[in-house]
Amino acid sequence: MFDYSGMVTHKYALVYGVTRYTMATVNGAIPNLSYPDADASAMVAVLQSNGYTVSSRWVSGNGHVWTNGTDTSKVIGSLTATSQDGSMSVGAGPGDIDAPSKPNILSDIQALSGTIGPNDVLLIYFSGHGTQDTIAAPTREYFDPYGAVMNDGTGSYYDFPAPSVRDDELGSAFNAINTPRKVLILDTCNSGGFIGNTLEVDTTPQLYTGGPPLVTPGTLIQAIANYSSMQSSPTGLSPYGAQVLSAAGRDESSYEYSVLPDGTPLAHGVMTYFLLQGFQGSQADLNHDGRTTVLEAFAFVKAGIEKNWNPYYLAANQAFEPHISGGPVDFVLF
Amino acid sequence: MSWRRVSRSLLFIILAFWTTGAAYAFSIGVGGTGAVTLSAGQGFGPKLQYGGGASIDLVFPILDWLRLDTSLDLFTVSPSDVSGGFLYRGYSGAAMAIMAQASAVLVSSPSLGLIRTGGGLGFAAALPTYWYTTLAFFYLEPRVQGLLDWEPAGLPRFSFQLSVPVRMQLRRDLRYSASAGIGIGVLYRVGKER
Repeated sequence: MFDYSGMVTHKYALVYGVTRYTMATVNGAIPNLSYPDADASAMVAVLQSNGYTVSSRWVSGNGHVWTNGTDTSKVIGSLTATSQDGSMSVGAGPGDIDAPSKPNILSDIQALSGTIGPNDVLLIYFSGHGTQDTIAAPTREYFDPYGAVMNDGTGSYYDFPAPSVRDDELGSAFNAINTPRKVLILDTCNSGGFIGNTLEVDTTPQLYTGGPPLVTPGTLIQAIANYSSMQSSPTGLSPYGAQVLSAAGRDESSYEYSVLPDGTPLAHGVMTYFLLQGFQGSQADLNHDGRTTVLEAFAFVKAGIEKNWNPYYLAANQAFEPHISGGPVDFVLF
Repeated sequence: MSWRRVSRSLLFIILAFWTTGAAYAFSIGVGGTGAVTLSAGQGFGPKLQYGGGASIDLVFPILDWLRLDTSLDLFTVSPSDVSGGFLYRGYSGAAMAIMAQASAVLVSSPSLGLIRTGGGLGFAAALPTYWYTTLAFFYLEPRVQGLLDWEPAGLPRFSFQLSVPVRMQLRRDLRYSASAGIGIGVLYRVGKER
């Protein structure tokens, strides 16, 4: 058995963002976003300034692929078909070889398996689209790297699974990493589906409709059942495999915007904006002990969204709540 | 059984105790506890967490030397330190507890009153949530405690309690978790005078 009680020796991060999904936007394509490249770029800077060794890939708004903070000047491909039965695909572009695609993301994780030791930290951050397969039971959630395409051939709109990244696929990649200190931060829709708890009952609903979370008799019954069975959630990553900080619940969307309702410039994913605020100047160090943990970062982000976003967008059904994995252990980020 | 029926049943039991209090004395009380918890997770070393709690107690005498203490506890356990780059999360919540307490007279004095010493054995069911989260979880908690009970001569219905509780949190997500502390409490006897 590994002894994880020693000091953290190295901190590694993989940072990804996809602002533009295809050079040719046609009917049925995944819509492009505005700020994942800004999210990824800012996240790289803040992680590097806090001692992380960072590798990054993102696609900017003009379709250029960036690696490790440098513009390769190579562009991504275009959609080659517009069929909505799952056969839609993205044609090869010169930037594909370096793009934040599913093969590259999984390969990046695999490449760290020989480097990361049991006391090291691995943080993976992704900003872009996420989606939910509502036909599967239970539902399955994905995040959409470059190469993801839409599929509504069965009448329910979700992304064609093969080029997207599902929780268990990421979990398999994580198994090669020899540290329990793995942190996954997803600024995507439906990202709460990547959380798979064993004991805990999350009283914040996966689709937030307002009001405080409530501990009900049902919560107690479910908690006792979980205690009795100790069976992990059928989907999502176990808290003993990785701590997940998700922008939104399993059944809800997250958002990006240019300004906050009070006029403050945003120009990021809403969750990432508050995460960056928390990391800069150690505002997320809630107990002022000189360290910022995953849980403190979550609490800071959640408070920011609940105060500065949700009251203004609840009526438009655009309120959302971040979620976090359970488990007894929390990790120091910086 | 519906929750309404359960509520009615509980109400009946409470009223029954109150109305028959003259014949079957029992005590109500409040208390507070400070404790230190030692926890160790899978693959992670042990660390200390500090906490405290408050309780509301209903205590039923069974024999002169034996009584049953039922309580609703509200408690909190702070996070551990961050040494080694990890910590055990803090949590707060509620627990329902039941404990059999046996005691023997240590001092009986007209001026001082009655001092008893003894111990208790029981268990609790806890439902806390982690600090900063809405994640609730459940565990069982066997409890033992030593206690010192003082019934002052001038306050025949009151007794003041000093206890040393030792508790084992049977948490299935930790290798072990146990706490020890010190508690104080006051009981007020309802019903007939002895």
